[in-house]
Amino acid sequence: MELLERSRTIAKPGWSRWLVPPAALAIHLSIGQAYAWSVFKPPLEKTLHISGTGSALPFQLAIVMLGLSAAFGGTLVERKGPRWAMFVSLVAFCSGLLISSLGVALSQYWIVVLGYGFVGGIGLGIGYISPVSTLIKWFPDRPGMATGIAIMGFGGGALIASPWSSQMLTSFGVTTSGISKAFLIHGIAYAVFMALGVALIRVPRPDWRPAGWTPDANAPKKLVTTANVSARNAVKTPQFWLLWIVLCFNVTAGIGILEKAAPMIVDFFKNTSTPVATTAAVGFTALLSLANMLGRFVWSSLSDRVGRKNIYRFYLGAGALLYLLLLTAGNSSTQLFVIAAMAILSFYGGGFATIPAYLRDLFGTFQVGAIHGRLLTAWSVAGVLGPLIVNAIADAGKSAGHTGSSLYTTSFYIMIALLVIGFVANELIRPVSAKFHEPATDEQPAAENGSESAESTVKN
Amino acid sequence: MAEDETTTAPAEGAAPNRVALLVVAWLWVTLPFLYGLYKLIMNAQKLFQH
Repeated sequence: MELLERSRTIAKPGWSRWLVPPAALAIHLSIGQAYAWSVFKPPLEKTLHISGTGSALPFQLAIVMLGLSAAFGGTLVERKGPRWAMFVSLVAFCSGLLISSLGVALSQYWIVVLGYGFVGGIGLGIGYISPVSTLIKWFPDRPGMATGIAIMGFGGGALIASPWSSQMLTSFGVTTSGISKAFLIHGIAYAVFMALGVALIRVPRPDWRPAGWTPDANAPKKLVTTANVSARNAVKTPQFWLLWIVLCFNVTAGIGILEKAAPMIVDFFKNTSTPVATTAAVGFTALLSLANMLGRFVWSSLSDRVGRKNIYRFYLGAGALLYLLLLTAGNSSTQLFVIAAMAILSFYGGGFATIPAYLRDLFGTFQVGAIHGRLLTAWSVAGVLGPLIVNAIADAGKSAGHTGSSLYTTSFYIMIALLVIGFVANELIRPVSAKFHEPATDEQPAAENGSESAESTVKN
Repeated sequence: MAEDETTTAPAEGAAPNRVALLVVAWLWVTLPFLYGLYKLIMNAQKLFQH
């Protein structure tokens, strides 16, 4: 177990920092399988005789556990290091799949809930935050791009798992034996795939810098501090809670469309001359996934150039305008609807991927992974809030006899309001007060090198 | 993968060649990703088929 300790993962001379993104991707592409859980839902419902609500339970519990383990395990992940965290993620996530295999074989659904939801969910949360602070330390010159690659992997995980799992279920058959085998193979295959991340991950030496880069190089243009704030202190700052609002409402606005994409586009064009068939709506969902994934890399990388505050102005401001466009001209053109929805989803993905770099800018690299973990509670809230708003209003509209795009009018106005609140919260973000900064030590070279307080070294 | 991508300045000359490892590591994650992307594009085309 000593091999997993942070001290054993310090990179030797000659280690390329470009080996760290694939290590992160090996973890994120695997745990992103969670987004493809829906593939297992109908087979489980059929073989174990459970309802749709019941079959959603493992996924819902997994997402709750993701938020909780990221929030409460963040500090431990920082202390023990990324290899330990990736190993824990591998063991928990793959054990969850193996336990699920056993549960299905025994026709005991509660074992699947416990395995995939509880045990596997811990793997999701620890795995999600495991590479974040390491990537930021390896790419201090391009933190947005680095975290964008990893977090794009989480979106990409579903792209791989969805067709792969479907194919496996088709081959093995929709029986308890077939589903059990599919879970078993998932558990083994993901363990092998994630092992690359565990083996490859390295942390840079504390004094390491990319050649030609200095910590102050970006300060004149961006909201970047050279000081460090602990996770415990970060949650006491208004900046943390303002970012919490920004992330929560940006995610709510995106997830509201993502969760109901297929029925939404069918409803929108129901009473028009260009109705969209249910089979075509599957294509719309796929395009949204693509936009979500690309937004994670493209917008997050762009944030390295334009600054974190500016990119969130763009996500939230342009997002609100696009919702307005959908309200005013949404069902006049399928192309317009698809492009606007794709742009909104790209901002949703971009918001996820840029947040670690924003945290680094404001709180330094010291415990950025742990702070990120705590901030992910905003995701848990948004995951409930977004679908709740859209579904409740659409259901109420249907009960009242409404059809077509009018089912979503009120939801879209709410999304605009949330995005405007997020925009204002982003505007209120200022550098963190020096009273929250950690004292400079040998372990914190960034703080050591910074001779001025955050207020004097940062500019927006 | 420019010269600034390696960890050290002092032992730059003695740094081992990581090209093979880089290729294997990136292929390890890129190939499944491309498979998923291909399947997604196939699905996305359904939106434009009438």
